[in-house]
Amino acid sequence: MSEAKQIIAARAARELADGQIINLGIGLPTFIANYVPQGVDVIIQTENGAVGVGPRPEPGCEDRDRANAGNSPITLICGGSYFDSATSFGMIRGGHLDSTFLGTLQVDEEGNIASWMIPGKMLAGMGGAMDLITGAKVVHIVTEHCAKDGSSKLMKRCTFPLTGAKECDVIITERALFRRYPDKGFVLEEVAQGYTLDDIAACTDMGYTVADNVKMEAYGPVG
Amino acid sequence: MPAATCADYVIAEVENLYCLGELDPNHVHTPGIFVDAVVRANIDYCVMREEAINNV
Repeated sequence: MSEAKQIIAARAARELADGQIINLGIGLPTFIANYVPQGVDVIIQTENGAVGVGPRPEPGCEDRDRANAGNSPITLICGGSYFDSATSFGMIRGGHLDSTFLGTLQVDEEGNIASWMIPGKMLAGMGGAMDLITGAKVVHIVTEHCAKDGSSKLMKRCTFPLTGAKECDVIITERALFRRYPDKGFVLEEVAQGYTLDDIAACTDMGYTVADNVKMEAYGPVG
Repeated sequence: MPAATCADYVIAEVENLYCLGELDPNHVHTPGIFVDAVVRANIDYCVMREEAINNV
């Protein structure tokens, strides 16, 4: 995993509160589980039908019948359980999840999220993302700040088809953290080590305001 | 189960309490995240059932 992804995962883990029920999207969000702060106990749900997901099994101890939504092998903590998709999506749509962490292709200043397809290209589909985005109480988008071609993933307006409209509450990248408020839209609250306010402005297409008490060098490389 | 998923506050009345991990994860009908409180049932249901049958 790249350093940028580690920085994002570690910062995202600090958003967790004790006792929360959360869902981690596939890819980068899965690694948030590695950085859960000490003394914080969260219950991880996976939308293919399990609650109480534990650490990744040791190599050689994987059980091919036990996987998360991204098809990675999982273990179950004591007290966890398995259930069918209907129960799982009932849980998600019914608002039982305190927060979800998802990657994305694009996110824009209105909180729209486009994560499931690039027109003309084959992608796996949206999986549970649509339900998670509308169902979870808090939606965190964890993503690298810029796409591979250097363009900002934090856009004025998404150009790809949306997964959910006006649902993103927090954006965490390796460079900055933005939180969305109903009256103010996205507010830049934290800037990562090695970046200035001008750097963030230069690589962010979406509109935002800078918090009065913006934290500079708020987070950075882990360990 | 459907009632448990809908209600704001869920109290489960149970006949037997088990330690964490004693239930097979595959045999759970209502995952714990839906349950807010647990009350131990004191009534002996078998006796009640017998009485009901005897009274018919």
